[in-house]
Amino acid sequence: MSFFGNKRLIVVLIGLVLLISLVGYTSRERANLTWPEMFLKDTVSVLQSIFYRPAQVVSGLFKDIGDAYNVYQENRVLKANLDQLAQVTDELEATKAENQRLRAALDVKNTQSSYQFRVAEVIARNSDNWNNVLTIDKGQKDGIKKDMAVITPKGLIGRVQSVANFSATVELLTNVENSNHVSARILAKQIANGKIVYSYINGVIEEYDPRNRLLIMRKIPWGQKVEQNQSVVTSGMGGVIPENLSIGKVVSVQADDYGLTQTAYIQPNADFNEIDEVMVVERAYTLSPNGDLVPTTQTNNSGTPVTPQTKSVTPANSVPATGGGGQ
Amino acid sequence: MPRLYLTATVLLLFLLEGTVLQVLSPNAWGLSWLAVPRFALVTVIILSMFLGRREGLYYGLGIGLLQDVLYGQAIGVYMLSMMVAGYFAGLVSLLFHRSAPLVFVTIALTLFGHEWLLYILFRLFSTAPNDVQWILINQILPTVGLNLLFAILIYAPMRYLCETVEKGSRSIE
Repeated sequence: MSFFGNKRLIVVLIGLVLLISLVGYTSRERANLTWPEMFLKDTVSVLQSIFYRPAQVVSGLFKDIGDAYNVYQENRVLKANLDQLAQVTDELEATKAENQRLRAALDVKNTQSSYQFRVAEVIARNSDNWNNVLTIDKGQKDGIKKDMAVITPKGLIGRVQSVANFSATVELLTNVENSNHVSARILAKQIANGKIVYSYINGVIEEYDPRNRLLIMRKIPWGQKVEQNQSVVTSGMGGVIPENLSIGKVVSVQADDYGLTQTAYIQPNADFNEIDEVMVVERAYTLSPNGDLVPTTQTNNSGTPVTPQTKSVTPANSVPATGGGGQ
Repeated sequence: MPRLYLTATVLLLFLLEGTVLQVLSPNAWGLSWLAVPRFALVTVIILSMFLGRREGLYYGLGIGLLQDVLYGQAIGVYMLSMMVAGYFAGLVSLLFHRSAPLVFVTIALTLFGHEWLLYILFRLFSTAPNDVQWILINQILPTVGLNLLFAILIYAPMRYLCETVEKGSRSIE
């Protein structure tokens, strides 16, 4: 009888059961946040933004002082790159024109690679490795939706995990809890019979290896020859991530555990340590259930102050950023 | 009023963890190890030793809930670990004489236990567990070290704050 008489034990047990059921209920992938969560996130994000900006400014000042020492060396390298860039840009324009002509000839209207983005500022970041997330200062009211891709000028960094009214949480690619799988492709260039052949090799980025700081790309078909230093971009298949966002470069390839597919290790282009400004990307066209390309409705952000920041980006404009990240 | 200051201190430290301290983190400077600032938890552990385990439990619950809602996917993981850490610290100071060296040993042990508990919980829910030894050397030990340093810094002010809170509650009675 003393067991039931012990009130404190009962309270502790009930509390534990409630807690575990709460964890179980919330650990699933949820479509929307509940309103108390949204309220708390929005309130705290206002407070956090007061602290984060000045800290970033001070830190940036120290970095600038450090940079000032190797300006000369850097300038020489950059000038050399700039000469190359002019040539690459011309080539790209020509390719774009040709692409457009061929597309018109084939009567293909929309591409999955055109997208628009919204610039957002980072206002906080989780300090431990278990949940590698950022908080940004744009939310539902600015047209941010769950699962949108998030990039920096250097490359893809993650996707929107949850959205509150005035802030959103971004799950980075480096998160240990891997719920964000990104469909990606390797841009392969091979020389066959004296001719250069360009091809795509598809795969899925599934995991992050924190020890070597590399992304792990799996499900690459067996027999495709993947080489070091080949670029990896998003494939635009599935979800809302547009095509051809830069991800990284291949470091090494090996057979997977069962010998059926290959696994590639990828050095991400983006710097995950210092992120102050990100771009939330929305694809201009999404695939309807019938398989048609449908323009994404822009009802959410028309009339909001965000509209001036929304730009339409053609694939040609996004490619120089890819090159810049690689160098 | 002292109670308000105490709560404000804990909340302020929690906000600093996610913002200002990010800039100072060793990861941002390209180092391979990671020391996670858990300064709010350190203050909760100290106040639990001075004000009793029940206070530690409540404050741990609050900070854990904030951490979960703001940064986590599943709500309740940090809530559980920080609640347990706060309660444990209060329990230890109840059993032993409360002297400065013992306080720091308790803080170190509680932080160490807290990190292990988190590792266990995330290993339970996550599909991608890391190597235990690597986590221990690169993450848990630096974290305990950093937070212990912070505890040494904040011990005296926190003690003063806790004593004024105690005095205030006694005078009300």
